[in-house]
Amino acid sequence: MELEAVPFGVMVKEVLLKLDTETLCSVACVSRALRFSVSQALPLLSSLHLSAFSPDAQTLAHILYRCSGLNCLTLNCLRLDDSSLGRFLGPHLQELNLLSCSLLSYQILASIGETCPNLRVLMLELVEQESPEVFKSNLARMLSGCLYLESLCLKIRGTDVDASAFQSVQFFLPKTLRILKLHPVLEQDGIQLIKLDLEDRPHKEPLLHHDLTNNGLQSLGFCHRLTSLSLIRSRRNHQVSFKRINDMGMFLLSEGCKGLESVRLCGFSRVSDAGFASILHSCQRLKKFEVRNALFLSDLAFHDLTGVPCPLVEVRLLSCSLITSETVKKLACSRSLEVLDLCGCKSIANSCLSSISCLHRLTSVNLSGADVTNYGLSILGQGSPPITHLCIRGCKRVTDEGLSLLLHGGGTISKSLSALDLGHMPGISDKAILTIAKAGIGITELCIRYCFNVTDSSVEALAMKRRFQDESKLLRRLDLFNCIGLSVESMRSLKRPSFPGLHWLGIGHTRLTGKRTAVLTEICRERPWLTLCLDGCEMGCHDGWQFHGPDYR
Amino acid sequence: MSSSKSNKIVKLESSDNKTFEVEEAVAVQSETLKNMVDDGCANDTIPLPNVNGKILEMVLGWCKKHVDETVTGDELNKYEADFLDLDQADLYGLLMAANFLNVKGLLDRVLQRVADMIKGKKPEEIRRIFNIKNDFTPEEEEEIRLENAWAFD
Repeated sequence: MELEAVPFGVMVKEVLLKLDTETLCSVACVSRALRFSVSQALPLLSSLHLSAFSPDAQTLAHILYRCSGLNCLTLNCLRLDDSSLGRFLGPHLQELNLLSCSLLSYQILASIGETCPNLRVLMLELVEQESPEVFKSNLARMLSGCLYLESLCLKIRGTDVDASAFQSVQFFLPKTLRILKLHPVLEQDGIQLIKLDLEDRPHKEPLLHHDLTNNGLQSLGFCHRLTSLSLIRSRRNHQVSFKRINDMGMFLLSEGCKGLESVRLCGFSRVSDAGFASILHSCQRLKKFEVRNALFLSDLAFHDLTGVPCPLVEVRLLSCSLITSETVKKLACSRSLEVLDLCGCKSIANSCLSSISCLHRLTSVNLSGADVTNYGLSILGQGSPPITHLCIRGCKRVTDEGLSLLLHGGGTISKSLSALDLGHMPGISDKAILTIAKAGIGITELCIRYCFNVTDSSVEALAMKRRFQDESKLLRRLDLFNCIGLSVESMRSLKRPSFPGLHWLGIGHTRLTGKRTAVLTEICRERPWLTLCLDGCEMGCHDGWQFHGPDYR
Repeated sequence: MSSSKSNKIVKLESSDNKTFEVEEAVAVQSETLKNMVDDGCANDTIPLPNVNGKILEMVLGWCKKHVDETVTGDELNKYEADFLDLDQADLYGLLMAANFLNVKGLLDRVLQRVADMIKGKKPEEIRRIFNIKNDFTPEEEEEIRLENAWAFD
């Protein structure tokens, strides 16, 4: 096929614009004509999303300088500092999402205010530094520069964040603001962040972190136009909760906010099935439902679900140990279900997998800690849901056999699966990894942390994943944290040309991080765009980025 | 509403001299042919020197399926998916034909298929699949590698 003979205009506009950034860069390396075509196509891109890849400053420059038409930018800033980012801010930007900004100072807010006056949407995840006063003054400078801001999401992460940084922020907010999300990590007695004077705007999602009472929920009930609500109180390793809210509060909320489409409730330890069920029954447009650490949530809350016209799309019930497969059976009546997250629900067993095997929109399943066995995986392996994300972390009864049944079952999942989490599974050994390397053609992200029985041959097999099958996608992210079965020899497998296209690798607590740091340095030199995490962060450092300092490699 | 659809037949001749007769309603799925019909140029056989018989038959099959009211949405989706399960030579011919005849839905699908064939591939693989020669000098190769290798190396 003479690709270059295809009429130029058709090529550039139609085919290239359907490709992701990685593929475009690959096409640019094919021939002179295609390099030129790509250079014509890149300025036509209006948005760029690089959230799953943490570029270093040099790589970012190479990508961005060719994309002159961007007005929407999403970046993972794990390895970027103020100066490397500052170059790319400008009045052309209307939407800016900066994730995992472990090296950025509060100054970035002021820079944004100065250089991006046309910003409509801003999202920033920053590390806590210095004093709340510095934050407030920089925030004020940003808000005085971005006068058309419609959506603002600010998350500050750290070990002990002082939420007073957000105090009185409501006085500075521009009139155009419709969406506001503020995220300090909580303390036991939080601070009132948002006054109800926002209630008359058609706002989407206020995030409240104060000592909420039933009366507070009742007042929320006056926000009739509320479509999205997120009430979260959580802290790692600490049991914190909304102690003054019980079922009555939920009844009042569900009475008032019938238009809710997305609800996230975390830390409501005194609410029982009746309270949660009232939300499910009252909010007829509910699409996303998430409950975490609800000690009393059980199957009963979902008992009448088949009678409810809820078009649920995403259901997340995290660490709700009373939930069993009965709930899944009820949830499976929702044909539009796309995400089912039952992380930490220990009473879930194989039978739930039969219930979901006919859901044609289901793409993400999390059964971490569930009582699932190889038989359950065989059901998944034969089913029709086009599952792209599967997490079976900690399912101790699953062995290599289960993986084989999953990927060789002839179902849709063998082709659709792109992210697989097999962490903390003693039953997984080299055999399973070899199966994945050969048959997991769509897999681009793999976590095998704490899999003690995985040895060097697994790493070798994964390094060659591409060679087994032409159709096989490049493995982009691999988590080997605490794989103590690996020896220092497997370092060889990390050098080019093995693991082509690898962007993130977690090798903390393994022998690979020991004495041979010279080899590690060599690997990083060959691939400056590879992010190596030695600290044990989860995939892509999405949970621990705030702890990576400037010396981090 | 009474349909004033004419049962007019449009005659088409492919590059290899095969003739096809289709209803006007089917033919006008192609913007190019529609313009000819509207301009009154479709009374005689329309020659299509850039489209061979095999491809033209496929295109007309697509157009017929999309005019057929008895076909359900699901059936149509399945048809479209199976339709594009072609070898490269046919895919290319189809691309050129859909572009020339300007059959909107078909063109978009074929382009998406071509895009899917390229997605996630490394440069050598793309060259192999589409039979493209590497015409970079070693210096150019090094330069573009520095710019782009993050994506696949």
